[in-house]
Formats: sequence, C-alpha cells, structure tokens
Amino acid sequence: MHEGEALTAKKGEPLMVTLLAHGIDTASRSIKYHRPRGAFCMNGSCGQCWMRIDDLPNRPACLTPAVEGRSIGRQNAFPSADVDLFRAADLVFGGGFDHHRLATTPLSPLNAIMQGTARQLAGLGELSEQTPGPAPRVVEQEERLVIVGSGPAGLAAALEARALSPLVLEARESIGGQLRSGLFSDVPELAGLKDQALRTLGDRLWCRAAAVGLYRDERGPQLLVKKREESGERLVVIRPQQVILATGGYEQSLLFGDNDLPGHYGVRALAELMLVHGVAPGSRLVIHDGGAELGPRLYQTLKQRGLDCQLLDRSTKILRAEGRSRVKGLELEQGGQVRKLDCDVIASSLPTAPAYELAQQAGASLAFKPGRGFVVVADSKGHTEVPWLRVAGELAGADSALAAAASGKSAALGLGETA
Amino acid sequence: MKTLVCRCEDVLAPEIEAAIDAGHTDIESLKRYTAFGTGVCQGKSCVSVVAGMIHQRCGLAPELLQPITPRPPIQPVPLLLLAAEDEA
Repeated sequence: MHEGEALTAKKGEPLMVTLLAHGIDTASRSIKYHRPRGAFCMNGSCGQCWMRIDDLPNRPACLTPAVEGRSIGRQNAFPSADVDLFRAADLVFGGGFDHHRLATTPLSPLNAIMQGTARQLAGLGELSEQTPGPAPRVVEQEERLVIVGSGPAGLAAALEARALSPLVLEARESIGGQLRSGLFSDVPELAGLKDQALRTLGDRLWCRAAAVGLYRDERGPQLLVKKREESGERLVVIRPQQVILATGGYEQSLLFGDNDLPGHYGVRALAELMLVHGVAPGSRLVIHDGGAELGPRLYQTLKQRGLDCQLLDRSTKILRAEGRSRVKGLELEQGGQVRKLDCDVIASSLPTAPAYELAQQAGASLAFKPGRGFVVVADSKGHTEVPWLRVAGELAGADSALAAAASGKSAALGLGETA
Repeated sequence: MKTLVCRCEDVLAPEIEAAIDAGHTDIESLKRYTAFGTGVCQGKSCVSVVAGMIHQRCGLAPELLQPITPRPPIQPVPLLLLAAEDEA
C-alpha cells in the first residue's frame, strides 16, 4: 500500500522498484527547498529515497523489499510529496538562501519567526507511535577472515582464500556487486565468478548483511554488522583475525542545473533497475559517459534490445535538466553550440567514489586522487598500514571490474599459508 | 535552477565555491561553514566532489586533502538494535 493506493509488486523486489514500475518517481522532498527527489543510486548510499515504511520513518526504499501488506508513504511534504506547498521556499530563494545571514539577528522578531518556521519545514520524518518489540540479542562470533563486499574484488579474494573458509558480507539481496547486471558476461575472468563463489562458499556468503563499523578494542578488531533475517534485523559483532575490505564505491552525480530532479540516476542504478529488475524508469534514455566503464556497456546492451538510448561523450556538457517535478529534457553544450535534447532519464556514468569509511575507522590512511575520490593507501598487494587489514577493488584504486577482480585475488594471496 | 552538490542538506555549487573563495579550503572547515556532508548520506555522495572542487579551484595539492571523519554506524541502524543486550 502506497499512501492508500494498493500496488502490485514482485515479492522481495525493492520497494523503489515497485514505485517506479507504477510510474511514481518522487520518493521524498528535500530538507530545505522541498524539491522533489527520487532514487539516484539504488544502493542505499545516496539517502534520496528514504520513506516511511510500516510506520517507521527513514527507511531506504531502494533496499527494503516489497512484502504483502507493507505500507509505504513519503515524508517531509505537506500536504503530499506530489504537491508540496513548502516548495515555495525553492521559488522564493531561487539562488539559495544564506543561513549565516537570513533572519539571524539575535532577539529580533524575524529571528523567532525563522526559528519556528525552520523547525516546521526541516527534519526528517516523524517518530512512530508504536512501542517497539523486544530488542533482538546481539550475537558475537569469531572468524579467521572476513571479506566485506561481494563484487568482483570481494569474490575473487574469497575464492583465492577459500582454504580459510572466509565469511563474505554483502549488504544487498544477492552477491555480485556490479556483476549483478550481467553486463560483464562476455569477460571470461568475470563471467563465472558468482556461480563459482556460490558453489564454493555456500552459506559463508551472507547477503543482507551490512558492515556498519570497524574498530579495535582491547580484544582486537571488531566488525559491527547489521543483518536482516526472516524475523527482522539484528546486530552481529564479528571478531575477525584478518579483514579484506572490498567495499567498492558510491555513485557520483554530475553537476548541472537541477541535477537533483527525479529521473537522474547513477549508471549502476539504471543498470540495476533495467537489467536486474526489468523496470525502465523512462522511455527515452540518455547516458553521459563520464569515464566509468559501465556507461558504454549499458548503452550497447540497451541499444541491442531496441530501446531509445543515447550516449553523450565527455565533450558534451550538460548545462541543465528541464522539468519541474522530474527530468523532461536536457540543455547541452558542445563546441560552443547549445542544444536541447528530449529525454526522460539521464544517467551519470562517473567513476565511483571509493567507500573508504570502514578502512579509515580501522586506522588506514587515505589519499585523494583527483577525478576519483579518496583511496586507501596500500601496497600493490592491498596491504595497508594496519597489519590485519587489506583492501581490494575500487577502494584500492581499481578502475574496472577486471582490475578489481585482479586486486582481490592478489590481496588474498598468502593468507591461507599464514593461518 | 539550482545545481546541487549535497542533496541531503540542499547545498548548492555556488555556495561551496563562495565558501572556498572566502578561504574555507579544507573539507572540515567547508563542512562546518556550508553544512555539506552533514546529512543522511554522511558525505557518500559529495565529499569527493567537494574535494575535487577545492583541488581545482585553489590548486591545493591532493595530499593536503582529507575527508571528514566517518564514524560508525556508516549506514542507519535502528536504535532498538543498539539497545539490545549482548548474548554473553
């Protein structure tokens, strides 16, 4: 049920997919200007599709599965996310408002009005009136080797270190990371990775298990995991001897006017929607090739399927997206010429920004690589300054799925022998 | 028309640029001034973009840039789970 309207869904598909399949692309309203927002990353990282789900606020619709009878609703909007009167803030402050100066004179009546208004406008969701059930107990377990992430790097590392029976953690419903879309089935080194891992590692692959913290206490490294089971979510504390982080990266957005409109996706999100879930979020698709290998691959596949899809190269600059409530076209500049392009989906295909959080919490150093983001400082085998911590894949700077798999393999080399 | 750098807190590209020009040339100081990176994604979608903007705009050497400190939990965790007792 979405805001009183019954929607049909494939069991277990993410709720955001269900919404898009029904043509609903506004998932929330933004915090300050109440601009419409939709899914961007489909991977729980961009925070744009948080909704009220089963009366609990701030649940990511892109990772929460559709279950019969589940109720979903949009937050931060009055009277509704489709027509939000507070969007007036967006129009009044067309150039943005300066929170350092706007009505901040101490003790002025304007300041008091501003405080009252800002409290009404801002905030994310409202707490549930429900009394929560008993808290599920925190489980603790010891492991020799834990690998965080099941993309090409994580799976290659796990297979290389299979003698240690590593535990592999994957936040999503199934393993594979960027291999899930099937866009690498023509690359022999990658095509069989998922099946081989499923056969070899079996129940040592934990899906729906998100690593949310990595730190040391007096007993050694501690990995905090939020795990979703049939009965609900629980925390698991893992005490590993060794950790390989293959957490991949977060999709990044191109900067252009109104780049936050629903209809602008990361390229992995578009591949996920169309190839994993079979739902097209629009009918005229444009991919901007910002250097990630997935953009051209997805374009080829969509073209082969006879879909209306265009690939813009890097010499084309997107000036702005057209549309008030969702993307309805683009204004482009190429070689000094400005032109318009009719479309309803634009995908940014930029290199991902490495997901360095756990590595940094564990004590590893980071280095900024222009055009990429912060990568973890490590040697060619992924060894960091922290003796029990290795990194692989995008986190170590890999810029392709093949390079990620190779770095995963080399990060796991020798682990079986030292155990 | 608005160009968003930080969608969680509605921080616009010209606001970041003005803050850099005003002398906020490290990520922590920019964060405190503009509130970018303080929203629900905790910087996953914007810290690298902002680092790139500082690097381009004032030619700062990459080694001088460090991100904001990401504290656990890096994904939202319901308070109920944190209130649970240990097994032991």
